[in-house]
Amino acid sequence: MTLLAAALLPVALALAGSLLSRHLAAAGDGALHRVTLYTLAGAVGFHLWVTLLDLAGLPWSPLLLAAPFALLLALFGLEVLRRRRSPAGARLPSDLGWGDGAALFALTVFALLALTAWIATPDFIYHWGVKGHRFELARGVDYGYLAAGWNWALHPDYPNLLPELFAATALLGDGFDAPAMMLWSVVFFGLMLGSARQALREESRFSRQAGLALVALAAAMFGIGHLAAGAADWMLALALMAALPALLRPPDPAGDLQIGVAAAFAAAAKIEGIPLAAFLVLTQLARRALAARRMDPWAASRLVLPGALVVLPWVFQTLRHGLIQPFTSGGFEISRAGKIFPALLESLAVPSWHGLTAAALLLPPLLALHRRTRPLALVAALQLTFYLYAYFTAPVDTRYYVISSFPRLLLQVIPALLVAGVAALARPTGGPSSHSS
Amino acid sequence: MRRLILGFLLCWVGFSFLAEVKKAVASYDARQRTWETPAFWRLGMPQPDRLELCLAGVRERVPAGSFVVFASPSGAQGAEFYRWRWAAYLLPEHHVIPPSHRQAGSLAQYFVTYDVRVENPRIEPMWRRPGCRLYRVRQP
Repeated sequence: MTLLAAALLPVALALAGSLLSRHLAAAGDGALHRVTLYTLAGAVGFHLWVTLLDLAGLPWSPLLLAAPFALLLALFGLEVLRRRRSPAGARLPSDLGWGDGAALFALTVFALLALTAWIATPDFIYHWGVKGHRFELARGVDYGYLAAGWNWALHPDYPNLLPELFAATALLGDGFDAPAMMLWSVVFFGLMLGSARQALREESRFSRQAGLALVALAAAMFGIGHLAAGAADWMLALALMAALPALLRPPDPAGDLQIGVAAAFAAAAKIEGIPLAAFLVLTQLARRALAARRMDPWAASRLVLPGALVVLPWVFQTLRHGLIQPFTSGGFEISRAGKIFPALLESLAVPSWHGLTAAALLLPPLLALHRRTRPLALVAALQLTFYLYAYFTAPVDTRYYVISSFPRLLLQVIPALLVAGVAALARPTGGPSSHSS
Repeated sequence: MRRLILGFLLCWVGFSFLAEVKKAVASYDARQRTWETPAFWRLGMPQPDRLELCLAGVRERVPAGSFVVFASPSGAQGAEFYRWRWAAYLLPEHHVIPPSHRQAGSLAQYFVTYDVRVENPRIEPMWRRPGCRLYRVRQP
């Protein structure tokens, strides 16, 4: 029953998010990418709803959790009836190939292993899972529990979208069940592939299929080998990938909202999602300003508003309950470099990446030589610089901190970098494709 | 050239993926014969299953929302810390406190010892199973 809830909740999120289709989907967006965008929008809406319930002091109940979905689904039905066609001309993929097959195979294998919980991340035990289960029992984000002095190990200051989804799944199903919760990682992975496909849409058939297979096999390989099921890092990887198609094309209103929603999703997922959100928004704002030589207030609101709606309540609740942990950040100490850089090299050589960490080497050429991939490369470079900043400032065992986190953090950027790398390889000049099919 | 680079990358990643799958399946098949320190425990291994059995007994006897101090032996690679994290995961309805925390003595209502003996005049035995003891803490 909980597994069924875990399977149906993402569908409900996607249907609810699809109400924004008129503003969120661009003309050339395929159906799979639209599903990704709608699910992200639905997840952000869900997060705002449960945040509102918490602020109002209302305990989550299956009825209260399902109420907005029921309302939105009714609106969705009316919208479909009104249009009498699929929303905004979404196109199902008609050009399936061997890369799609390989991607589906990688996703299926990952799903089968994830559902055993054997490849569950240790962090599912140490914080994501226990938070989700506790929130289910408390019927809300249990700030008293998070604020208890001994619960520093839970990362109480992190945004809570993932445990909120776990708790809602358990409340709508028949209780907390670890294997069922793993299905969320499978969903995030699958949605990421939908956007990767979109990002490669204009490339030649071979590049498109090879790129999709590459990113799927690489993410599954790391997810299995490094035990990443149940981790929130999939959400940041998904957010960056969902923003990628909009970053690869010239700025447009739908792209602004796509990036705004992806940024909000990242900010709701994990603490390092907040800088990722800021980098996504600032990069698109800069592109907007450079393209139009002025700042369009509507573009700015589409970009900034979704993230602001997520971050402001998080700041309020974190300060209100004193959740900021002293080990999160401290003074910048250059002397840590002697430990950080050897540990980074050790992390880049971690066996579960099988050398694919070399994708980080793509950053300079993508940034300097390729106009089309420059925005993505800029966001990824800023995000990696932020990790480096965190390593220089966190007053903890530096070497352990780096080697225990950096390989996993790379999951957030490597899939999008691989797709951008394939796009750059397919069109070295960054101009229009000569192989479009 | 483009096809060659992508083809090579695909072969590399494809074989690496299959290697990881093979490793994962082999370790899954051997999960009941696996012995790891708590830092490397996984769901499905016998060690956390044994801890779960212990804490299931605690759950039956301790009202939800209680403050439970959980003690286990120290060891290499933060064994005591990781066992405490597993105990907190397995008892989400309780506040599971490590004995070293400054509030442990003042808040404790129940005390669980796992593979360790503890003598304390404030604790009285409630229940036991091999390696696992539950005590009630007398309030001062």
